[in-house]
Amino acid sequence: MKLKDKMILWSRLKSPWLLHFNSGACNGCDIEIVDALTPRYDVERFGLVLKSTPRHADVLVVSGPVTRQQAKRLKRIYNQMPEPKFVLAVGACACSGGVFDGCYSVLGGLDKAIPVTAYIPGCPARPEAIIDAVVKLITALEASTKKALK
Amino acid sequence: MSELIKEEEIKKALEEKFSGAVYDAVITRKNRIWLGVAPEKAVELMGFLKKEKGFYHLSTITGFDEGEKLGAIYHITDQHTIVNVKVRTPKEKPVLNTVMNVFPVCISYERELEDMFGIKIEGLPEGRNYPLPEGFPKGVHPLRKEVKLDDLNKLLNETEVK
Repeated sequence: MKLKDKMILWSRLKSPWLLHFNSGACNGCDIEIVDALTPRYDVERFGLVLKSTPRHADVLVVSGPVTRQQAKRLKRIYNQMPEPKFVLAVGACACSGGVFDGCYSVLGGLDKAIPVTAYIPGCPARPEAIIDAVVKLITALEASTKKALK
Repeated sequence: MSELIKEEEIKKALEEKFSGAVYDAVITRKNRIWLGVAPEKAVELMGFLKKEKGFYHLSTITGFDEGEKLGAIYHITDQHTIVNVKVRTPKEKPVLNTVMNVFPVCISYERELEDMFGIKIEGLPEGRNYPLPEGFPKGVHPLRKEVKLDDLNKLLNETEVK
């Protein structure tokens, strides 16, 4: 592996950048995500930073069921992200559609639209659960990276 | 009924000015007036309420389906009293006039009436679907009574609105 690639891998592990996307949530999970990012729970200590553009993001954090209105936009944003990309589904609605499942305006859970890396259940998902998912994502990344480096 | 002077006065003025067009006018309680009006006089009536009576705010429009007839309720307020103007139109050919000239804010509410109830709004400029997504099957209006959820979901999955 070249030094350049090693650098990129190292920085990706040390500081994955997030993009938060609301695909039709009631705002409960959004508040919990913001809660997890801000100093009380402070996910930023793991190097995670919230970004405002998909082109800079490594992890897409999606809250809410995928509405038929948002599905197209969600896919476009997912396609705009550079590889490798990871998707966190936050909350019961993003996992399975939740209480909105079966509604004519809702497509269903997040996996109906895009591939999902990790599911975080809860209504709303607690900040601890979000931190847990993030830590697990990073450890999984680390393990796969070490494998690749060998 | 001394405490309902203002309401009585508004009701009387409407019934006098639009005699024949206004029906079922009732004062349900303080600050709440309900009335039905013939669709061709509706815009004129709302213009009258705005200009002469100071009802400058259209809170929202509610749509309804009574089986034989479709309709809309215009909730108009001066921040104290609410006048609820009910307009009905036959289901075979549901057409209402736009109130854009009186309340320019109505555009999104009326677009919603068009989408969810299939009431054709005369005079509303062309635009994309709202609030239904693009590519939603034409002629399907989810808030109508005859639309069943299972059938609609089946149709949507077949047409692949994604």
